[in-house]
Amino acid sequence: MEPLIKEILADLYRIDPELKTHEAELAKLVSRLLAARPDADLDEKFRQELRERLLAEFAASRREKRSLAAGLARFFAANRFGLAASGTLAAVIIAVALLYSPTGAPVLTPTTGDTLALGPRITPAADHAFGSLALTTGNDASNASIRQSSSAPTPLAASATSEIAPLGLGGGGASGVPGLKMIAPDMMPSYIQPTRYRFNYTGELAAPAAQVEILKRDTSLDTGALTTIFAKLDLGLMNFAELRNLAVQNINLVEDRDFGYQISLNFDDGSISINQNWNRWPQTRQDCAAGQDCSPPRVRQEDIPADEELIRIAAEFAGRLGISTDAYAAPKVDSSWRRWYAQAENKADYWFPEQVSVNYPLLVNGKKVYYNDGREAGLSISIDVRARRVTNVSPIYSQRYLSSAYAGETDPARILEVAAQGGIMPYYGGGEEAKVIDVSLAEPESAYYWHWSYQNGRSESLLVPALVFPVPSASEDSSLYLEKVVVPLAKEILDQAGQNAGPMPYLLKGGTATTTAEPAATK
Amino acid sequence: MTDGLERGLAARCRQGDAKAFGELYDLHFRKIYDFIYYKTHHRETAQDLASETFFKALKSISSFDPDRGSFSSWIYRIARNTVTDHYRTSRAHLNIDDAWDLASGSDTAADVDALMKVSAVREALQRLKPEQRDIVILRVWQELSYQEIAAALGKSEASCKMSFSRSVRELRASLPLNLLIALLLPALWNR
Repeated sequence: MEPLIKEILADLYRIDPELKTHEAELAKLVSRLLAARPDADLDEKFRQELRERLLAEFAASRREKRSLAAGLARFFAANRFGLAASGTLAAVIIAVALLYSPTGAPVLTPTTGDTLALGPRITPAADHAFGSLALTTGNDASNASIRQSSSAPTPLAASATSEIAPLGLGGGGASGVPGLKMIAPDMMPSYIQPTRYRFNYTGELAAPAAQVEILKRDTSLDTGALTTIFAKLDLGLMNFAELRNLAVQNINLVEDRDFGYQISLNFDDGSISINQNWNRWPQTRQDCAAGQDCSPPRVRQEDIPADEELIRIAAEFAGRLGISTDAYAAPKVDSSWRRWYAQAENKADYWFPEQVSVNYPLLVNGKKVYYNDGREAGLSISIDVRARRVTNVSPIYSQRYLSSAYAGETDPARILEVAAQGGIMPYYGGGEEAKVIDVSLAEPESAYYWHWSYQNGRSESLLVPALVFPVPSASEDSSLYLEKVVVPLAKEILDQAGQNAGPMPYLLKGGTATTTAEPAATK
Repeated sequence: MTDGLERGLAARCRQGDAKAFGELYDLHFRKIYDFIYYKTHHRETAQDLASETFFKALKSISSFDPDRGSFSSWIYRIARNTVTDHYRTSRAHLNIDDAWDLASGSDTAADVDALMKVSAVREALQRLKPEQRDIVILRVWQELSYQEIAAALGKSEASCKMSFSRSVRELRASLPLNLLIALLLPALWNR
């Protein structure tokens, strides 16, 4: 009996021992089956030709993928997508190319030519090219309501000299109708004497320029080349070619590995952000049984790496991913937790942060950029203090700007007046009842103010030349956290400064509040 | 062929190594072609469907996951589906899986030689369900192990064994009397 027949029968007996009683019959049956095996005549020429056709197809698909990758590269080059992170961009291009690779093979050798600008690029535009510098303008429906509400008489649009004292930064407290008293006064907290800060600068200001060059981040990208690629995709689910005026807004990629990352490419604002891929990071609570104390162990103060170590981790990560920090000033660790800890009444119960950020201040034309509250704009790299790994990097912005001239504020007194109230968004009011604390400002630095403007349904960011006055840390009042007073030098913005509604009013002594503020002027 | 070699070749394919795909083709073409031929009984049809099978494999090589099964079982599945699709689309009015399901004499495309060869057992095999028939073909004509058959059909090894056992019992019961006599006589003579 042939070995194969023996093997087949042995298998059969293991499954169904009763069959062994028919062994002779079954052996013949299997033998007959084997003998009936058709002779599948194989044409060797056909086999060889098919092999050649397959390999030719394989090569063609590789060429197509190279073309796809080249298309992506051309797209980014044509748009001069001047990311501060050329390395990350290259990684994204590779990853995007991989997404559409039929064989999953890497198809792009990243190149960083002149077209991928690393640092800021500033292109001059006509005067007043960015339109109004108002916070909100536009003609769409959503703006209409904003415009209406901001132009209507607003009794609570109190200026810094209003006799309304702010109740706090939260909501509630005052009626929006002139002359009305506070609602449910007995529900209000007891009287808190408001505090008002008066920021004084006694030095000399250089004569302000009549014109200021405002920069606008240029996020316009022609995604046509990219959408063409998508339009040709055959996912077997729908016909992309039928869609019109396609544009790519976002691409999200994930690293599917332990401690991997999610990379979000936002074409609308020309930015990349990197975040943890939560699915692949250890979760301290995931194995927690019901009823158990599932609180992760608290971070201890000694768990937080030294600043030098945090900066080293951030720099190593940025270097590994090719994220250029050339357009940024020296990194600083956000040590605000130390301030909170110093002020904590119960230090034993203090929660130390799980993550600490290393901030790289953005430099444009060699100047720092500040938000209204005095924080520096820039690149933030957060680090998990337990894992000692980077968790987030954002925003990696394109550094491409248009430049346009606007009228500058030429009156130094007006600049100091705005500085005295803490910037264009008054820090606190307080009226006559307020306790006034004088704070001396140090010599200002020339910088940019990051101005958000909502124009025609889009949020846009402008960099406006500004004077930034440092607030000495040794303040009389420990609740003052303002570190810098930012005064933009564009006249149009300063003219709006007094029109912003301040915080909700304080409860005046005696339990009632009246409003005496004039309605906000409308331009 | 070792699993490690298959994994390595498949990984090289995904990295764009055409030579690796050529090696996988060389290793598997004959078995796949034979399998298709056994299900079609017709050389040109088998050639067409083998071509289609390997082009499908080339197109979707990036989706092949060696952790979920061998390349061999993966391409057997593609071949089996390709044959089924061929018959179901070309004879949309019939629910058939392969040439075995065609009534005798209705398959004008079948090779005469193949029909002659299987004629003795055709009637018996034809009574089996398509999947049972595939298991018999894969086990007896292709000499695959139950493990390989299970992977190719996406079934458990135990169910493939049970199915084969059941098929043998059915074949034994349904073989034409003259064939049975022909089978049994030599056994009697050998007593």
